Amino acid sequence: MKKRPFLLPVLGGLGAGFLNGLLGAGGGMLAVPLLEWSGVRGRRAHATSLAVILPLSLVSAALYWWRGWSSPLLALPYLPGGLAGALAGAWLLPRANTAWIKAAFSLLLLWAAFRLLTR
Amino acid sequence: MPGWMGAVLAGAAAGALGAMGLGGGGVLLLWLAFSGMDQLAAQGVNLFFILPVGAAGLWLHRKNGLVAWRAALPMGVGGLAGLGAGVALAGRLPGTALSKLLGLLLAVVAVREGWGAVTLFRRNGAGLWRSSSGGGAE
Repeated sequence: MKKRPFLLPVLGGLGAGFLNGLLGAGGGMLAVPLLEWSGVRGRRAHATSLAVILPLSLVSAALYWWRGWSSPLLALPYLPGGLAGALAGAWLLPRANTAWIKAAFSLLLLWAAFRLLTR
Repeated sequence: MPGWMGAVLAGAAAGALGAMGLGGGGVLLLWLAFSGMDQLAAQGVNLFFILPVGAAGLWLHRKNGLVAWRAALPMGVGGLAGLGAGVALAGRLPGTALSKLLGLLLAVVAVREGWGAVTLFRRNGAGLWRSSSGGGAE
């Protein structure tokens, strides 16, 4: 692997952490392309992005809790569905034509973005 | 639809999309935002939600040798620095500003995933299932 400068991953991580703390989401959006840029590709980039996002989410979640903004109890109702969905997604990923899922996801997000920006 | 059913469905959608590398976080945040939860509380729920689901995913990926730890390290270090600033700013901005920023973020992801869908349709065709592995699996 070609030697890449160290600074850009740190700066990109800075941005991912900033988004993670500010919006509680979106760090992966920066982490995946950055990892690909530093030579980690495809499924490895997605897998590794979790290793970046997870500790960040842990610290952010702790800060949100400590400041009294949120609590793990509020998240509890979503966990059973979330774990079942994760299993389903892992099963579907190698089998389904993910183009349809991406297309539907993209339309849903466009609609939601429009509603959030105009309300 | 009773509230618990919505919670299960939103959680399942977020978990499934997350496992497919599509950023499930957005879906759960949206559900919470439209169901009227306070924006900061919703963001916190999203963060707590990621922890068990993401940990399970990371554990699986680690077993499969897919995690490039050395590439993750500098980003994690930078991320911890950026996170403090993000949380501090989140506490100063009104909820409406945060939800508008979320809208912008989602618009960017929507365009990227839409583009990704077009690329995949060209490569895989428009069938519901992947045809390369024998196809037709129900």
